[in-house]
Amino acid sequence: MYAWLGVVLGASGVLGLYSSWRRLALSGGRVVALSWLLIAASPWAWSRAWGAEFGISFALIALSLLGGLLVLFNFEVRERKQSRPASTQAVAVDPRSWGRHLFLFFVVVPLAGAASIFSTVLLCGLLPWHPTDKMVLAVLLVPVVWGLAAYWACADTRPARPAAALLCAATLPALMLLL
Amino acid sequence: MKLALSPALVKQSLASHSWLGLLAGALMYLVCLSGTLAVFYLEFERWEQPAAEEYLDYDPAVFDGAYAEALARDGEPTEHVYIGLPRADMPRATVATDNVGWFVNRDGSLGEPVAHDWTHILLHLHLYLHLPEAWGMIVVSLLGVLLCGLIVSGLLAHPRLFKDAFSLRLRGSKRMEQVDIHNRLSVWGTPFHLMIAVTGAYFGLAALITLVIAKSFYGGDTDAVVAEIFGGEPRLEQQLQGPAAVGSAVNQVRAMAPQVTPFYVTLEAVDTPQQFMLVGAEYPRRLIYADQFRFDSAGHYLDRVGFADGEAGKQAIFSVYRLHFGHFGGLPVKIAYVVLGLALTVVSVSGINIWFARRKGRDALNSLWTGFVWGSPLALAASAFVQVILNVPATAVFWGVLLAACGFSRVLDEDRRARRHLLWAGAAVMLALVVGHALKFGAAALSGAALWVNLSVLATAVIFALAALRPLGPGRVAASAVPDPI
Repeated sequence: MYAWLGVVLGASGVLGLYSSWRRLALSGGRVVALSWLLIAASPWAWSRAWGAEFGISFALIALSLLGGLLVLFNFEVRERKQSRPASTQAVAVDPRSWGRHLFLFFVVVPLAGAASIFSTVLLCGLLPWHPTDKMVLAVLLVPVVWGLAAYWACADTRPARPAAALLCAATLPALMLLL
Repeated sequence: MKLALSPALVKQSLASHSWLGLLAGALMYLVCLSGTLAVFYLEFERWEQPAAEEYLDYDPAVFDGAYAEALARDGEPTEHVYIGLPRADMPRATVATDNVGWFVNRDGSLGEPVAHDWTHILLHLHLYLHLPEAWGMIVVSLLGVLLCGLIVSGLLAHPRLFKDAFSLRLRGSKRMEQVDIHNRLSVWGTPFHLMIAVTGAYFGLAALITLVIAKSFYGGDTDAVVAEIFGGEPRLEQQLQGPAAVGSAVNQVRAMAPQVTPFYVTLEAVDTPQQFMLVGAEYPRRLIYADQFRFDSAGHYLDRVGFADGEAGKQAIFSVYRLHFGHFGGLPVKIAYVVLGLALTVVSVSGINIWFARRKGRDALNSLWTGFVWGSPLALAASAFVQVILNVPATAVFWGVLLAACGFSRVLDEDRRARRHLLWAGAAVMLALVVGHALKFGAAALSGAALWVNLSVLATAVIFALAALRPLGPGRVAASAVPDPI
């Protein structure tokens, strides 16, 4: 019963978004807001049927599959544009860019890694929780923090800025933790 | 509906997305492709040895003798004995030492040795990229980290997130086609991709982070950290009298917690006064891999580790495995994971395709990429044929075929023709694999999990053949600067 309600809520929400996107009869800001509400309510129904762990997982899986299904349903085949003839060239190697790429690699992998591990462990250690919970939160947060740091390192127009910040974020927590 | 992202932020995010995507590149594709297949690794194990006896109802007492017999047959020193109990998704029993394992028949006698080497090749590719395990685990975990960065940069590089939410413009401009495929699959799959990234990164990073935590808070004692999360070992000093009472332990778990399903028993510190047993039991509607009931060698109950109702962190960390591999909720979830995993695989390929499309020219990388993408399924099928049908170790076959596919595509230097040939080759090898399997295993190949795996391989072969039959289209395909869409 509740599982079906979860399906209906999720499907109605995604269909509402789709209807608004296609500017069908049901569209507009209110429909979009209601659709998101329905989508947000679907994990509740799924959880009533299967428990919170399975329920939330099922709701998110269903959202992805329903969205993907509507994308497939909406595909549009256009006339193939002929690509301009291009002969195969030798692989262009520009040694001048190697320095930049090596620098980025250093910042994205070891530096951002050290910064995310040390700073996350330090901050989680400050939480007033059971040691197990603090450790597990750190283990699960590190990849996200590392990924964000990697994003910033590559996105900043002044690469020295994230590099310096990450160096601080690695060194200071490391000193505080290990000394 | 417009998400107000500044053009500068979008541009920088796009640059970041491209750099991170190229760093992850081909390895991400291999990990995603093998991971998609690995969802069904239990079924592949059953397919590799379809003749093993399958059953669900059993007398736990038979494992007392089975494990003692396994220890006697092995003869080599071992610290552990692993007993796999039959359950719905793996209805066969096994007993293994650190060195070797056997199936256990319903009467407790040992069956054929356990040998699912191709599934091991597949899992080793997914977990370690066939590198030495310590390094491979870190490289693969790093891909999880990069996926986190790619998800963030991808969302911030996408100013028309909602405006294009359902657009899928196929054919037309190749770049637009690839962008649409990449963006739609990425956006709708975001929750799944984020979960896969975090749980995937966990496996390799946990050891690294444990080191830091141990140095910081436990005086460098990593065992203390592990004990805090996974439970410390019981301190026992027993006089061992005969085999451990495995059957009694399993029966006690059944009596203590009728709602759980015991599915493995591990003997630790085998044949020492510290020997004890862990009975792992699955909990209904829970993501935890198992909770562990501990017994001494004589079968006296000691305690329960508490993954089911301990600290939230303990429950969370023991839920990572089922979440990552889709081993919860039965077949529908596994199928959903394959669909979403395949989508992530396509995302990793289309991302590189977009990079190719944005380049002005064409070079050897274009054809090598075509060979790599379409050579990988062929290489997996070829390694399965060599390993399962011919019983020849096939890790080198996988990499050899992949290398040959790249070389072939490079020499041909026409992406569409190369793709067509590799599709045909893949379909042919898959067909040969199914025929070979049926010839080798006879009726066992046409029942249970083996039948479903064979039918799935056959269906994939048909899809590959149909894709290969697609017309190449007018014009010199070699001129195309973009690999064909997947």
